[in-house]
Amino acid sequence: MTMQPPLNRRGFLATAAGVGAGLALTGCGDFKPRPAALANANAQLPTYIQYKGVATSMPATQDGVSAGHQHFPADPPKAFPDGPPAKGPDINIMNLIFNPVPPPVEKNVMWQALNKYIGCDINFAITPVNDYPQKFAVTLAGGDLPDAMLMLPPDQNSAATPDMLHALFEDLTPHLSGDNIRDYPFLANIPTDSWRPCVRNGGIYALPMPRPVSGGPLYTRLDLFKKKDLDPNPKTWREFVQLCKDITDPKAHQYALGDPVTTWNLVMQMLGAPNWWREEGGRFTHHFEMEECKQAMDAVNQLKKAGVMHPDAFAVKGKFKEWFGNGQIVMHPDAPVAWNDFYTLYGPVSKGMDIGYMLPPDWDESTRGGQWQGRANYATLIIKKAPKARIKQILRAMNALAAPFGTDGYLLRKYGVQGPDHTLKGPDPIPTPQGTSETYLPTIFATDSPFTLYYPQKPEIVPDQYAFQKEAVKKLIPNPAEALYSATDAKMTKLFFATLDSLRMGIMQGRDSPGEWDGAIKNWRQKAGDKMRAEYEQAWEARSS
Amino acid sequence: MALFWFLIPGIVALLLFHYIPLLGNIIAFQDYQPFIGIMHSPWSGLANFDVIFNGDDQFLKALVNTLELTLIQVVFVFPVPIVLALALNSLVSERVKRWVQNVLYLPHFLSWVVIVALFQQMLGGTGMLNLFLQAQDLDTWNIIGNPDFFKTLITSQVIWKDAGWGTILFLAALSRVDSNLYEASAMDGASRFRQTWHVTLPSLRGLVILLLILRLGDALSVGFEQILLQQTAVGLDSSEVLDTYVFNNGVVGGQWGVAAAVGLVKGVIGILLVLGANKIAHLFGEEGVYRS
Repeated sequence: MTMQPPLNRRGFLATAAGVGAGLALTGCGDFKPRPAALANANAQLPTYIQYKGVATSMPATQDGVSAGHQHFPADPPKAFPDGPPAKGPDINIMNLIFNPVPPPVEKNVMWQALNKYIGCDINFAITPVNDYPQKFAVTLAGGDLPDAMLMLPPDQNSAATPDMLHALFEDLTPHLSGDNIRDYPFLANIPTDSWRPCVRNGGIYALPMPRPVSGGPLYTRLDLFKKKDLDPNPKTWREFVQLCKDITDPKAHQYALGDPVTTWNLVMQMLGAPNWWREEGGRFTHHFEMEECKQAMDAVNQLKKAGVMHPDAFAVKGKFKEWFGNGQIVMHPDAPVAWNDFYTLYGPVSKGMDIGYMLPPDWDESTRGGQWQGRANYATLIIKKAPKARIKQILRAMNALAAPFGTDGYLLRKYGVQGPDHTLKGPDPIPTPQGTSETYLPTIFATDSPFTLYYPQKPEIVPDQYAFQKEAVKKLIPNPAEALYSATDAKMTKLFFATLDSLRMGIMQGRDSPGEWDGAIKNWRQKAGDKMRAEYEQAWEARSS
Repeated sequence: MALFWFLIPGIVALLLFHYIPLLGNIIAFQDYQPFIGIMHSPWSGLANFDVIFNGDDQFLKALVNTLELTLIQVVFVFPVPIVLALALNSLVSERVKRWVQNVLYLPHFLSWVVIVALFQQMLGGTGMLNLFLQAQDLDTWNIIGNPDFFKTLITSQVIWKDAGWGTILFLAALSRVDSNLYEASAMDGASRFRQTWHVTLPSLRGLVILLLILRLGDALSVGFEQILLQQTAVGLDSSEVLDTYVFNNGVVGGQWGVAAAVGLVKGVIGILLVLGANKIAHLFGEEGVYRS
């Protein structure tokens, strides 16, 4: 039997080419970017109205210190005394997670209770944090958008362009600017700093995910320092190096430091170097192009040569928390939330664990150290274009997710339902294992109330955390570009970062010579840096005027 | 005609997952922005191919590293399964042979993440080797983070993982060699070595050539996951290959067009290599991938 193939190779290729050409001709290349000046235009920010429901001896301050609480109010006020605030259709949110994925809603008591409390089903499409930028780009390209999605800041996310926001997402200005925010009192409780990066195209295009501006400390293992009878309070770089040498004990597998990148950040802060960008009289300078950058790389190289860095520091990624937890390293710079996490994760195995904090010491008597200001948001939440009533429903739901510390809404969001998710010790919720996995539900990556220092399992650490923030805010170095948009930064930074980061690692390890840095930076300036600078300077002017 | 219907699912799968995605290569000629999509992204002609034709530094490094690794792997990795298969074939006890085979196959089923972690545990700064050296007050040996060892390390990992698995085809071919030939050569007084040389290897020749040609087809793919996992330790200069370049630029760096252009050129070179090698095989009277 002979059979004529329905489509031979040539036939297929011809068809495919035809289809391709057809696709191409039906509208390819008709996209016109909007004028760059519009991107950074100003908007009227929401009025800040602080929530004053719960008193504390450690209040939040104007300059960015988070409130601290040792105990939860015994009788938490109801966030919504009139019942669920956001009745209506389901809300789909796409966001990310650092922890393991929580159990699905059918098996998640906390999630079910949350839906009931809000008044509609909140569906989370959760992606692991490392895959999120790809997922974000691909979802935009696919066109089937969720109701709301997490957007990483443009310098980490080339897809976060103002044009994209304008085309696909809702301008929330009519709902949120100025006194309009009064309809959403818990969103109004979010500090103004966190709203600035939400402004694009002259409008408020996103909701904040507030984080403390103090940034995180250099965490220290006080128990291990005590064992060696050492005082972890160096005043200068020289004393810091000596401390590192004294605490390192290779035979006991104990080293001073692990992560080379955050160690470099630390040295930069000792040198008082800019937090990414420095702005002086409207002129911008990137910290990569400054002398301090090379000085810091050389300093890390000295630490490596002195043998005080973990031997796998440059070879392994993502083990640093674990090393700190099990005492292989005794100092580790990390985010503010890590403080509680260390105790929760490693406390049970590292007996006697006692965590202290250090602020970047001065470099020497003439060069004063500073603390890089933390981003005011981890990321922002953008909402798909929709009819006004729907937008209002979503905003009411997000307002519920921002219910502040002390309310029943906060308790539910962070500690779940009493019984299955937590048991009460006095007024304080102590999570059960079920509660821990259920509350991994990433509501904090939709929006959140302002960061609050609170750790029910170990309330005695809160005054230390508060003290750290109070000290830190006195010497903050802000990043002037944080709330601004530069198209070149969004597009090129990640691209250049791969090579620059590789070279920086090489220099810190002593593999590459510091001289190579100048060549790389010259190339960066020609192809991206100078353009970024110009764009940021323009944006700075637009926002300041 | 009934048989034809059985073909349909296969054809549909092939179209859906192989041929239609090929159309996406259009973005190699666009300034592609995910949020605008393929339909509306502006055309950029051959601008994305600039890195290739004008020799962008990073691209050239990736190309050189790729070619070096390809050469090393063809020379050192490709013959290992053949040698292993011959050795296995010479084992007399079926039970021992089965057992050895199973042990050799196992690493193939481990993911690269696991294998890289294993090597890290053995050879890393706080791995078994260095902890032992440290306990003896000897100098430690930096293997994982040393760019000079990187290609050796990568190659030995590939051998460790896949050499055993690679023997399967050769063992199958060996079992098909006519045992009369061995008997006849033994009658003529041939030693084991002579038998291998004159009987075994010639009967494997067709298969070896076929596999070599297919290997050339993906000559420019040299272990994406494996290398990406170990890049931080040694830096991009010695570890960037074309696949990681495409990933670092396209997916991470958002230069989708450039990444697609590099991927496209890589694919075209792969096809040319296969067709070229096949032609040469035909010239030598071998069958190659298909009959001429």
